[in-house]
Amino acid sequence: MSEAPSGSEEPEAAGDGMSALAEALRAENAAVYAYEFVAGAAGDEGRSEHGLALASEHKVARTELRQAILDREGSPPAVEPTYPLPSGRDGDTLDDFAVGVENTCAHAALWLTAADDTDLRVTGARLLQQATVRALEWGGELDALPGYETR
Amino acid sequence: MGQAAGGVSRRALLGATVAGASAAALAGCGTVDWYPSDTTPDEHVLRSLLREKERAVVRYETALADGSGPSDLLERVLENHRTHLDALLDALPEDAEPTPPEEDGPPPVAADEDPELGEAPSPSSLRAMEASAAGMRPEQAAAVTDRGLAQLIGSIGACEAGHAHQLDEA
Repeated sequence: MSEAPSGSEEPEAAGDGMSALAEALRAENAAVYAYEFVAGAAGDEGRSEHGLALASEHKVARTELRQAILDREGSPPAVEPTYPLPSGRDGDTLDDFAVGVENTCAHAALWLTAADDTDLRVTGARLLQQATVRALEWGGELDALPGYETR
Repeated sequence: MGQAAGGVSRRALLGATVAGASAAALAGCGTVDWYPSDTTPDEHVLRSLLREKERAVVRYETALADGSGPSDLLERVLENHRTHLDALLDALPEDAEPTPPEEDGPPPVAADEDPELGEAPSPSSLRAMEASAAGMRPEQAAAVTDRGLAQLIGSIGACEAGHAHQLDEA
């Protein structure tokens, strides 16, 4: 789940915003799927409820990004039938998986902050903050510059 | 983390940022006269961020010296702010003055010049400072002409939101 978005992520490539929007929406689609899985797979109520709550939050982001694409006369990427899932179901595995989900969303959001469209930049910066905090909630580490890939 | 974006080193990315900012400033010459004459809009935002970061560093150093708050966390947050400061300095145009022009704001802060900075801040006031800073970053990212700089500002804001969360949890 922590795989980087495909294609170039350099600021120049994000100029028109549509590619970055599509990548952010793909990340949100995957996040909704992931958290619905976490909610069902978790053996404890806390993780399950947290997973459900975050699935709802990502659905809100998904709707917002999808609408932003439609408003710009673009075609939202389709939801995939399945997304990668962890093989384990224990708490640590699920936590690590959730951190990876949020890091993927953060990376896509960072790309969106490079859009020429300033509304999209604001959206990207906001989504990046949200993903960063959610990753911390799952036990992730805080990087000095969230969203950038580790070499 | 923080060394690369899309396989491009952060320093290279920011180098492109500066070049882009300079080009944009030249293209817009004559239309941005509400900024100080020798300062581009991007540099104006950068200077503002640099002053904020300098103040943040002083506040965390003061908190650590005073022993108020969780020292391990405060050390990590301070290190993040120093990283931000370095990245913002890297993003300044190569021909920029090392200190801000006088009309662009006050010189770098020092605790003995600002009474507020001499007082040890509580964790709750640091948390409020981080939350406030994070809240400003999306609009600042939108205000600059260079896309790479917008990314840097957005990323700094995310880190600050993380600081606020960690201070709240501590």
